[in-house]
Amino acid sequence: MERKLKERMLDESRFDPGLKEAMWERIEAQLDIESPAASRSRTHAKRTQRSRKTMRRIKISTGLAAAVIAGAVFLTMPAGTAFMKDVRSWFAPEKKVEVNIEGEKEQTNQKLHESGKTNGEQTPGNSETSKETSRYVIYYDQERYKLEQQGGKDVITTTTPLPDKYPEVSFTIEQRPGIQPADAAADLEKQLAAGYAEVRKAEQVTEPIAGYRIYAQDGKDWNSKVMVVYVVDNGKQGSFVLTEKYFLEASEGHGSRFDQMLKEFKVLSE
Amino acid sequence: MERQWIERILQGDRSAFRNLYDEYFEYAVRTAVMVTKNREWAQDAVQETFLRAYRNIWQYDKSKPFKPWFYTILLRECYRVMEREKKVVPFGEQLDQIAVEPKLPDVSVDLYAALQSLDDLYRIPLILKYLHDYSEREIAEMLDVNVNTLKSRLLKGREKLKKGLGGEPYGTEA
Repeated sequence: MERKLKERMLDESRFDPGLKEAMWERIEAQLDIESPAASRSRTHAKRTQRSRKTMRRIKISTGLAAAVIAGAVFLTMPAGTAFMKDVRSWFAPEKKVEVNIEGEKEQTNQKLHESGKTNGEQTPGNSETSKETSRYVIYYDQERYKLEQQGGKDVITTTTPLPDKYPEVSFTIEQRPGIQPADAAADLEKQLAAGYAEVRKAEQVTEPIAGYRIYAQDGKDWNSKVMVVYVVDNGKQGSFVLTEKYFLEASEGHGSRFDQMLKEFKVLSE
Repeated sequence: MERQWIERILQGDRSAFRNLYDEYFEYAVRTAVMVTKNREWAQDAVQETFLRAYRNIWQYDKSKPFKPWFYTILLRECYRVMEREKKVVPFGEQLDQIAVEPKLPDVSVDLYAALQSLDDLYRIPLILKYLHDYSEREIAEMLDVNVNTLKSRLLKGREKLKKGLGGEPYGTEA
């Protein structure tokens, strides 16, 4: 019976031999729309090499230009003034960023947040960098999210609170001075194991940000909690811990938006 | 080889994704045709499955086999398409609900028709088992049930098939 059943299933599930290529073309077309840059990788060998060279040139040119501007600014500063005192002169207060949500491109208005300042005022206890701590900037979608300071951490949450049936959705930024990223990641991995059914081993990543990534998921239901933690070097032998919290069904929504925000996270070297 | 493809896909390499597509396409289509019982819906489900697999490959846990992860997406997409067509209840509910005895075919009905007349609770595990020769552990992982539950569903499914065929003895080559 088993053999006959398999034969019948193979017979009944036959398909047009042309379907494979036709479907692949549709898939590629869709992926090209979603990520034109990625489409270049199809015939990428030479192109990629060329593109890398171009990128290197752009980076070198940008670096040189930045150095020249920085030098000029430095020379015009009064003696003793902290270099890059006001990052707002370097980062636009607002900008438009295109994000990719479930295959659809979306324009968002993103607002600059500079750590240590709220509404242009210095935040007590957090206003100055020390030998061990660094400041940072990040852009966030001001129409969907708000940024609040809670217990020394910056927490980005939805502007409209979600109904109770949804698990927490937030993006938290905290600094752990004196703890190297590798140690912080190992520590977080252990902590997460206590609260989540599945915790993946910390791995080094370069996208959406360079650092360590730990993924944790608590079940496979639509509302199962997901936590993705990135640990980034603070440039002073310490770490920044960036924690995304959402639920499984929101992976391609809030998850994608948080990942995009991560790309805009920059540690300031002052 | 599969792991290398996945590593390359993570770097955005479309040719590695094509390799994966070549590897999984045929059985993905066959499974979707069997599950949805509709060739157009099956195409929609398979296409969306590959797109989702590509977009979300970073969520795949590399310490685990890729196949169950991929087929979980495929089955969800099959149900998403079927739900869209208002033919079935959502995937999660489908797996949890207590099976309602379907109208079984009479003795003249062939093996395939008997299988497709079964409730999805038994039909899907049997398709995965006999179309693909997947292990019970793999199927349990794809359907997110424990192995004993899966074994029980396969056993009951076979019994219902046998009953639907008018008592053809299970396990024979007849």
